[in-house]
Amino acid sequence: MKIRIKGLEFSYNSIPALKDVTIDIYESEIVAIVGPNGSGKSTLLKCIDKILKPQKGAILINGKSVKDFSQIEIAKAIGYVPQGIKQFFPATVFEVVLMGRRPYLSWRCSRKDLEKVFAVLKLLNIENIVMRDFNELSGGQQQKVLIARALAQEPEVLLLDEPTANLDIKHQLEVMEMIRTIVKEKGITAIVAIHDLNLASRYADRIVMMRSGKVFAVEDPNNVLTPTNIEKVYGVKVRVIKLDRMMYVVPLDPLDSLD
Amino acid sequence: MDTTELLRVKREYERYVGRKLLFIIFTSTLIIVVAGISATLGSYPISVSEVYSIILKCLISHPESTKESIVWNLRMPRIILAIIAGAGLASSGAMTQGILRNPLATPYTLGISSAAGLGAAIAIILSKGIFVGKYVIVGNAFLFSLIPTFIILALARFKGSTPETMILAGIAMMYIFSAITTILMYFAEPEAVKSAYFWMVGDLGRALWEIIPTIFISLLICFTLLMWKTWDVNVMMIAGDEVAKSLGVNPERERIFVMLASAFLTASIISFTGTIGFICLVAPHICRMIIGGDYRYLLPASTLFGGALLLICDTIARTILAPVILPVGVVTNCLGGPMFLYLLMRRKKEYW
Amino acid sequence: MRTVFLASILLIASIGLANASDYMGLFNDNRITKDELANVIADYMLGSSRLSLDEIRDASYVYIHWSGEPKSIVDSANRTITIYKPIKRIVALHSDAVEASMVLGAKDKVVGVSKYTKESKRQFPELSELPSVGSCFDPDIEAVVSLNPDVVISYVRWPDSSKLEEKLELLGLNIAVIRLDFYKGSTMKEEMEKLGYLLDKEKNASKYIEWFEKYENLVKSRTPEKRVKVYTCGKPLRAFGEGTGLYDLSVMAEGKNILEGREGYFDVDPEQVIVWAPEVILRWSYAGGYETNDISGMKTEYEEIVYKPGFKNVPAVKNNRVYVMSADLATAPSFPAALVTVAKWLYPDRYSDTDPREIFQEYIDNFLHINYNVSEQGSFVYPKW
Repeated sequence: MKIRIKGLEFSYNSIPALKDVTIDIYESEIVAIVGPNGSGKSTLLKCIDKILKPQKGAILINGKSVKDFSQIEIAKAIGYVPQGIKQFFPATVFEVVLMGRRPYLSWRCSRKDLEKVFAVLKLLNIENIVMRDFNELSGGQQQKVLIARALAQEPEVLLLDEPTANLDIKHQLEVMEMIRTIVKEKGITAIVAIHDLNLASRYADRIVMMRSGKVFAVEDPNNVLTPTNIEKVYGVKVRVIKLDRMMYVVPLDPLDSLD
Repeated sequence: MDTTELLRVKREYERYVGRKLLFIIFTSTLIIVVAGISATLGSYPISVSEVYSIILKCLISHPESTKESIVWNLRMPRIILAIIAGAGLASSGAMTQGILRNPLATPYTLGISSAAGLGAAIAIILSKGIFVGKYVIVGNAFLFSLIPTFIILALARFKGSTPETMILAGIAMMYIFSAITTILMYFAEPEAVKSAYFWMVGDLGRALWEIIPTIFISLLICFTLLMWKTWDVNVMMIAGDEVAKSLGVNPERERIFVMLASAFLTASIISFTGTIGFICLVAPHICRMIIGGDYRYLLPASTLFGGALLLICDTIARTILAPVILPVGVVTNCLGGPMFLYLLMRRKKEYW
Repeated sequence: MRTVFLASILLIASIGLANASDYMGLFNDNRITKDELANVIADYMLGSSRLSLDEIRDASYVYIHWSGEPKSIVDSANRTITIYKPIKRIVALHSDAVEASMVLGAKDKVVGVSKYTKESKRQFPELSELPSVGSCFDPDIEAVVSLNPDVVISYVRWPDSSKLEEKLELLGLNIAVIRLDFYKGSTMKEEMEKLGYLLDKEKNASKYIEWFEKYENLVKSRTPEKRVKVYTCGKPLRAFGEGTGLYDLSVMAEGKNILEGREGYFDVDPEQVIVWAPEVILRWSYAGGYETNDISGMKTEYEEIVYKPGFKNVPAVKNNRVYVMSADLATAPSFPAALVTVAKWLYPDRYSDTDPREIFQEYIDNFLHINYNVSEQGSFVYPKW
């Protein structure tokens, strides 16, 4: 599935969050969206999934405007993994993942739905915690459950908002590996908003760097993660080291002001 | 796929679901048992076997003797009304808690009870109403109780129908209507005030066969509508508004739909019975503690349990101080408070 | 030959008639005729009557005492109540109706009372022992019906007909509900007359009305040239305006009520009362009554007014003309006693020869027929008669 974003603009109550964003996203790739806090990463994801309605601009999925899709059609095509683990009411892991089947359910869930849920649980290696209360799980497990839910939607695109934010090193790598495997095996496109530049450089096919709601750069990691760019966008002096064909960003000094 | 693992998980899930179905069967039986006991209780001496033979007889023919009339025209409608009203209040309570994502929310939080109280007070104290005749109080209460609903709808248009907006608007409605009612009662004669007040406390003493069909149909229709939305409420509750959108649910629209159905159901009940408290709060909570928060099962369970609960309360209300009849609202309030505290102490999982 | 033939046809016809009808059927043309009665009795003796012995007794009674016609009144709720047989069993939903039954000498007919009556053991020593049917606002219909009454007497406004008449109708029972208040001075006489008529106690009703009018006229005959300004209130200074029993009492006692033109019950700013400067303040109380000798409740209510800040110079307070009266005296068939009490408070010099306590005792002795000495028992007024 090809996503084309053209001239997107979004403001929260006249506070602008996205300005003239234009990006193309292709099939079966991992695109990382990086940028400082408040640069519009989450907002962009929510616009793509029709959670927020942009004031200007268009989002085209395979050439068809997102506006012409019904909420359910979008739900069958795009899976969203939200930022932060906010749980409202107690639910078992199974029930949480079952929510992902909502776009397909009429009233009762069919045998097929149950099987898809089990399949997705198995894929993420969480079938042993299926009856546990979601709130009682560790951060890493919860993140996997949320990914499982998004996968249960049988999407062609996965949107993940800071999936590694609250995880330890091991789980961070686990989750990112899982995303890479899923993208490869299922041909899904993953758009990941992430603040860890090293993870981004390690796993992303392309990186979109954002600053103050605008797209600053869109290229492969080597070309985006340069000290100049990072200084300009983050206001931090860094050194970029290449180690075993991967780029590592080493922070040095914060600068006094951003220009 | 590993079939044994899959089977084990499936079996676990089925057991989990099986418990819920068992509870639903249990509450249905409970209703029948309590109804059976309640029918035999009353100040007029009628033996247990007589009561049952009368009931069987009156299912096919008309009651003739005084005893038959008492059982069939006096006790039975009250019992049936208690079941239907309790069911309706519990189901709208359960769904309101779901869409407002607040375990303390009830349809009354949306201002319905205060408005119905005002409508009834106007009819009782001023003897003025939109309808005339026998149903002047009922008609007034019903019409007035829908006013806050429409005001909240209008507000939602401007401020969005988030749970916060609706709860705040509802509380504002509560205060406004209570204030007007207070002013009205302040200038009225003590006895009229007593009447109005007792209406508001909730009383099933006005039960008649002729009002049963209306309330029953209302329950049937609204319950079906609510049942249709249980899956969406599940999503909204477990995933939150934003993720719900990503799953194909329109939370704002569903919230309004459920609110309208719950409000209508509640209004149609309390305009006959007065504002019976606590059933809409306690019944869903108890059910949730036993069978969990999946609304596909929680809604029917709450409905049945609410019917049983209100029937138990009403039976206590009319027999505990016989021949003095307590309004059922007194019993639900007395039992509801401590019950709620007990639930609070016993809760294991954080709700919010 | 012809007479025999005619007689047998008549007999056969009347047998047919009697057989085809029940008790109510006797009232063709709205009266029982001698022939109908005779036939019914004959049928009974032949063993072929559809009427019970009781019903025949009732029919005979109606024929003899009521000239064969049913009795009808229009009660205080404007409903026409018609009875076709003598009333033998009464359920009285409020104590004032119980009192009225006692006044009419019909206390043996009362079979069920409200829970409030049960608590009034001194006022109703025998009747408080009767079974209770609940409260007058929400009576237990099953309890009422199990007492098998002929009539139920209730207040005009309570309970709602959906809780009384409609339920009785549902049960298909022929129990008449008569709505009479017996607590308002302005309607007391006609209500007593109507109930007396229905209970065949017209003589007792007349006796009461005579007594009532004696004192009504007494007060009217002593109308002063200048009327005293009265303020009528309840707890704590809540105004009792037009339409209330207390207002009626003050006006019938020839006082000029400051609240003229204002209706109902409402709170008034104490400063306004000071401005009005009433010469007499009359307060209604639940604190006293037949059941207690303890005057302290009424005394407290008195002191609430008298010691209220700013009230020192209100004429009623300054001149010691604040009075508290118990509801048991003021809003009941004992009304004439209350009337004279208030009249004397308003115009003491015109009533120096009258002791209202004696009038009240008269009432208790001649109408309530209980062993009760007003001088020693109960607390009905404060500070004094």
